[in-house]
Amino acid sequence: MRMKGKYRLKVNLRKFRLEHGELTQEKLAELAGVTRQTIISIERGRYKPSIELALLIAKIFNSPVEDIFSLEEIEEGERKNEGMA
Amino acid sequence: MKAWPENLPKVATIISGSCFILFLALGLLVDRFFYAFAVLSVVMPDLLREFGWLTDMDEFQLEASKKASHHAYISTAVFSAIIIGNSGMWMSNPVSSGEIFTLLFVLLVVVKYSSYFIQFWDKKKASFRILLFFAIFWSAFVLLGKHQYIRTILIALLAVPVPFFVLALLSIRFPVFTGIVSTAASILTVPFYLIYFYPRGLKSFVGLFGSFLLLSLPLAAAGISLLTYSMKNRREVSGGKENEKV
Repeated sequence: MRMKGKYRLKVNLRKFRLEHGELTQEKLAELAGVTRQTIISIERGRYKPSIELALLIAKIFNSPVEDIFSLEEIEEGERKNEGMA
Repeated sequence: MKAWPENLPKVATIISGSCFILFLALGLLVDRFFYAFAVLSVVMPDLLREFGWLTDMDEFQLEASKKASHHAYISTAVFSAIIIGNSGMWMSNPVSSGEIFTLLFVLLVVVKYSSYFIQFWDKKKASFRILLFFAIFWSAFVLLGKHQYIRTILIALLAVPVPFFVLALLSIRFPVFTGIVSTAASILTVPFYLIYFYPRGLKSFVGLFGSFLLLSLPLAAAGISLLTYSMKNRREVSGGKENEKV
């Protein structure tokens, strides 16, 4: 069964940052050893992090990785719209 | 030790840029042999990163850089094929291999860096910086040119650098408008070259494509990315409103 294309990556990073003592993008970038632009791009869904970086971010927040990054099912109508975009 | 600021070019980029200027000057003043080192200076940081000997980029930057190189190599390959396929166009008006080499090199660098900036930064910010860079580039080109009269300099400045500056400033407040104007301008410059310059013999094949690379291509890159940014933004805003309704 073809699973790819049915799901999209849901990123809760911004919510987690704000819940964990208003951690800034700059501070998180420093802790993860990446640039602030990388954190911005992950939060905006422009970049999908590697498994290693996703696990590292989860470790920084001391939370399971799937709480920050999860798969969300795409509705049929939405999929058509995404295909057209 | 404090980390190197993100907004500044990387140390490797500064070193490779300085070496490029040095070898270019040596190529012009001493021997053309130094041009090879000038090219090597530009591609060296990427080669070192490829082998894993230079680790100054994180995974997102590396991915953007690799994609940008891919775009640059495809464009250069297609353009080389066009040049070879249409060699009859310029064989009657001989072009030196040095000119062809310069064209291909400029194409590689313009596509590589424009693509990298658009992927790495926010599309709106990248478009602003591309337009600003070419505004400065064209200003320097006009001011360092051998013009005898101030009037000629002013007309030349008004023709290209000023519109680039204006578009860069407009892109901050009016991305849709600037995107449409930049894309339209990039398309309109093509018939302008063919109708105005080419029949008058003012531009050779190389000059024609050189202007296209440094004028139409940046306008198209900035315009298309501004329009993409605006469309995505509009979709996100309407998506947000739908969610609010629910």
